[in-house]
Amino acid sequence: MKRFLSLVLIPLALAGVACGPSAKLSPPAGFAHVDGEYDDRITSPRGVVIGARVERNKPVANLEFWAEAIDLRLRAQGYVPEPTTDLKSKSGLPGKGLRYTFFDGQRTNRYWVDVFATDQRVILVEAAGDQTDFDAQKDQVESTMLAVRVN
Amino acid sequence: MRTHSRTLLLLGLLSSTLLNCAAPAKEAMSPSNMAPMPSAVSDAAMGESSSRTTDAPSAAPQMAPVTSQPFAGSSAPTQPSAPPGTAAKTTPDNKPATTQAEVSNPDVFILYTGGLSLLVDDGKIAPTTDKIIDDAIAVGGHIGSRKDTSVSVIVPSKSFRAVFAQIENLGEVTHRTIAAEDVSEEYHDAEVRLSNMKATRKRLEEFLAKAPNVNDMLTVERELERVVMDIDRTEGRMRFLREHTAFSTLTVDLAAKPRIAPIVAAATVAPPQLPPAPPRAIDLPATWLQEMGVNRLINGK
Repeated sequence: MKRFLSLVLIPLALAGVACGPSAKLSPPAGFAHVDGEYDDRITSPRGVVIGARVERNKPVANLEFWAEAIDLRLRAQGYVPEPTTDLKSKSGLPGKGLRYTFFDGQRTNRYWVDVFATDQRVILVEAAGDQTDFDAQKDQVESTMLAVRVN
Repeated sequence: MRTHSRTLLLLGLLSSTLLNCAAPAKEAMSPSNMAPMPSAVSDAAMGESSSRTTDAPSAAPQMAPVTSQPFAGSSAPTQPSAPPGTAAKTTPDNKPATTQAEVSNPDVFILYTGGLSLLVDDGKIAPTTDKIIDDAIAVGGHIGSRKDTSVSVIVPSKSFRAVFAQIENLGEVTHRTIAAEDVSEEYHDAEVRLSNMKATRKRLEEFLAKAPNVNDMLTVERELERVVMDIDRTEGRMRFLREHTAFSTLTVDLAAKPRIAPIVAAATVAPPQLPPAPPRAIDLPATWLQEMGVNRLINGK
């Protein structure tokens, strides 16, 4: 019996520790969940994709720190920024809205990042797509990003 | 015997003539014949030439009139207030009456030569040249030569100083030269020599009229011919001195003033437009930062 418990409970415990909180998206009409290395990821048929994930706040830093760190890295890769905006998620988390345009050599893309931070977590909600398609659905995208949930 | 005595008489006459002609002029000009020379002109009038050259602008030339003061006859004192070289006489309006008095003395013969270098405004070289010529003509002078940037005028010596001063005012003087050569002694030597030769010629002519035979006539005629040639040569030299001391040569070189251009700061050359340097970002111990971007999101990995 003890052996059985150890075989069942220990993996469950380890799995619970490893999973931690995750981000969830509510897909608007015309979007569907797709797999990927994200906590949640949805896409439109034209490739307007929204992904969400939760990362550890380590090194521990505030929202401005992570927003600037993300911004610097993206700029270094050629992303052209637009003014950063202050956000608040529908769940009440303060955040920063980072907006970019990126030309990948073939097409011009939109790339948005909403970043929220707690003492222990950094919640990232990203959205990307061809500029034309993205702009056509940007209201839906923006609303979906702010509606992110962390479970 | 009689012929021999005449020949001896003729030879004696000729020798005395030759001695008179060859007599040093200075001996002929005994002190009793010379007027006292004013001390003011002694330096220049003793047969020495003088000249002055300056590179810096200064007052009007003071050289010329010094040597032109009367030195024969009266010893008119120079007024202390008068500048060097001006004559003692003054006009009723108390201005120095220099020029007329300077050259009115026929015993002084000075060769003047002047040179000026002027800077004039750009584009004013030709008008300034014309003005110089006009100034010379106005005082009875004339043009000597003219080139693009220089002009030489010949003016009466009595007006040399006035014209020189006028021309100095036409531009910025960068160089000035005045040379005065006193040829009075040479002139008076020639004058005495001429007088002696004329006396000799007169005696030879008298002797020629009384020559007893053809040989004597030929001998006297040859001597007379030589004396006449000397007279002509001396008169020619005296005429040359008179004419060349009556006028002076003034040469003016003209140049345009260098343009003073405003100092303009050199336009700063804009560096070539380079793409902005990528922002510096340190690698944080958060690997997820490296996993952001369009491609990863769209591809899901």
